[in-house]
Amino acid sequence: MNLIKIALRSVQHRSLASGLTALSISLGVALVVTVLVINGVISKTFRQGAQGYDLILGAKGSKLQLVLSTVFYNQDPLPPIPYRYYTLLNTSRYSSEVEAAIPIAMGDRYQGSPVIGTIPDYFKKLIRPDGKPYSFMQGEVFRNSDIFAAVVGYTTAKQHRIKLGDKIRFGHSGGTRDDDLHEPFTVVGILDHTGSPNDRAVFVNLEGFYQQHEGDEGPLKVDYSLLEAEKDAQQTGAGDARTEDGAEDTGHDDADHDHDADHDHDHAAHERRLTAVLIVTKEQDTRIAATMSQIDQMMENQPGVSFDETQLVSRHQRRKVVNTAVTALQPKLEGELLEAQAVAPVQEIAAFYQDVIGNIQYILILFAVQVIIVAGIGMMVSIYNSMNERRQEIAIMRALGARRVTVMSIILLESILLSLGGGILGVLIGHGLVWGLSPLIMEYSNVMVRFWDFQFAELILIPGLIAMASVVGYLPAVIAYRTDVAQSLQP
Amino acid sequence: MLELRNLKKSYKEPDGSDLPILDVPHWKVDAGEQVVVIGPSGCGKTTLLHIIAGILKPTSGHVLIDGWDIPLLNESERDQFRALRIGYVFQTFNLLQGFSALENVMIGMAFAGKGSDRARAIDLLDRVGLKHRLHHKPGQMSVGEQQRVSVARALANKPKLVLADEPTANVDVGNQQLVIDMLRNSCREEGVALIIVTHAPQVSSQFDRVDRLTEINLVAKKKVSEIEEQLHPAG
Repeated sequence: MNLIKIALRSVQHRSLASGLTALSISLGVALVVTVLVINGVISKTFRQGAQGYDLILGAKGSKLQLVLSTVFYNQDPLPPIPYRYYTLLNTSRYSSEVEAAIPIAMGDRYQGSPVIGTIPDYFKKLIRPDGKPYSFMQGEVFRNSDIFAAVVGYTTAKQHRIKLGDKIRFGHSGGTRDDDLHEPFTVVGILDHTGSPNDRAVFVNLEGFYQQHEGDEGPLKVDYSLLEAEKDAQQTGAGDARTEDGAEDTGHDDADHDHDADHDHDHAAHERRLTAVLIVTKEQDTRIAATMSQIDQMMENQPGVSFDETQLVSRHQRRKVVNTAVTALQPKLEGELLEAQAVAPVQEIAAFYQDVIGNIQYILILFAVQVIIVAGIGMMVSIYNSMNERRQEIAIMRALGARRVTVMSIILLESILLSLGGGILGVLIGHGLVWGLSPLIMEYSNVMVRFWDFQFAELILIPGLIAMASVVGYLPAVIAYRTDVAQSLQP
Repeated sequence: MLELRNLKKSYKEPDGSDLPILDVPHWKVDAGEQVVVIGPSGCGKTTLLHIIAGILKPTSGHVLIDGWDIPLLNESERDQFRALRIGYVFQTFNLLQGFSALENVMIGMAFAGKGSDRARAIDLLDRVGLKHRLHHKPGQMSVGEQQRVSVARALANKPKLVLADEPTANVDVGNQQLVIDMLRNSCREEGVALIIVTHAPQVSSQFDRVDRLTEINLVAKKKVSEIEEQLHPAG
């Protein structure tokens, strides 16, 4: 029988009081765990959501609004930019910097899900937020010639029980009222789960998106006067871009491209406008290739280097490289495309996270820590109150040969056991709570939260609770230390 | 084995004066000897046992056990000495309520730092007739059974001396003799000296050596003389 077992027996002997004390601790810990896990989820959602491309070219205005509306689809899009900006990015003028430029047009909704008009390259040249290529649970990406074809995100498909071949209608009103007037789109693909906002999006062929809005008073209605002014500006500022416009206006898969449609498309392109262009910088890929080859070499030379370490190195290098590419391209774009701004989503989101969300979560964690401290004080009061009735028990232990330090240790151990018990219960409650809320979290953030998704910061809870237990257990332990044995043994 | 020399104990009164409790010029108990100390209430019986056990420190004098002068040890050493060399049987049993009979016996071993000898604890409970009650808690046992557990607990660390303070005072008549027999037999089997403090004549009459505290303790002797003088004034 050791001191821990003796302390455990004492805790068990006062099971009701001990249980209530541990429960109060557990509620505080559960609150901290919930905040930490949700913090992790939000952080992951924000940071991952901004991966996959390096720059967003959109209308001038709030950078944050541009990022939030383009990446997370949770803000109204900024006013559109001329289609030819996208065309220009595909010319030789930017060929040394731009690996891929993907146009997107937004503004419609299907049953609440954002509808994004884009080109097939969205799924071929961009990568998912988790770094993997896009893959399909069912079907495949639409071809350029499939004008009224759609690809549906995992969550939206599941939520509305959409299957391949289904015809869907959408519009500015979110798929209700007068959307029936629009041409239906046929679902040709359903995406695998990506853990990103794309899970609740509907992607349609950009050409179909435009055709649906011709003569419409929709969000992409062309402002011809603005377009003319833009043309004039281009002629004086970056006139050479226009000459290359027609020649290299693709961004589409030529193999799939119908010539007549292409011709019509070119005509329409001059009048059309886009919500944004997603840009992957070229430099990033070459530099990463170099980094990866260096890493491969390092792995060969140092077999002890683990895979995770390599991944970290890779991510670090990638972030550094992307920043370099973005720094070079961003001012060039903004200097030449007068109506637009180029925003690096990773930087904007990191700043937004740090300035706004990070502070809110910091306050929540502080609040939760306060709850734990209050529970800790409650524990001290509970143990302190029990000391009166325990004087005789302590005196008996002393009479049996227990030293003052030993009985003090037993009381401290009781305090630690109660805290740890409450802590473990709290961690389970916290994770259970988050797990219980996972369908809701999934719906709003598209991040799958599992019961065992622990946050690194939770590890601090254990030494933190032991430290708190030692502090709150100190006063009762001192009382035990000072117990007058002879007096307390009197019947 | 045990020798008291010029042992004095007094407490401070609220007015600052000393209240003498014990004044024992000399008293001795040999190894394995069984002694009953009798005396009226308030003559310092429990205080004497507490001082021998090292729970209380005397005001002056010596308490020699196996050559160790207990008052000269610091508190931590006295605790350790008590855990290893002295067994204590209390009037009110003083079992730990949250612990089973077996755990109550083993807990003293933990404090002695000798490790838990579960087999010995079971053997001792068997010897006091409680093998079938090993995992019962004090609240689930009769008072007689509880006192038998405390006898087993007192012997757990193979002490040199067992001190029993009114061990039958709270035990029903039917169990009194049983407790005394177990205590005496167990101490005899283990070769342990036994000092029982009691004011029960039916207990003291069974022992070869019966010492009156009113004879050993000069303070008690003086008190008794004063009381007798008040009751029967000379002349």
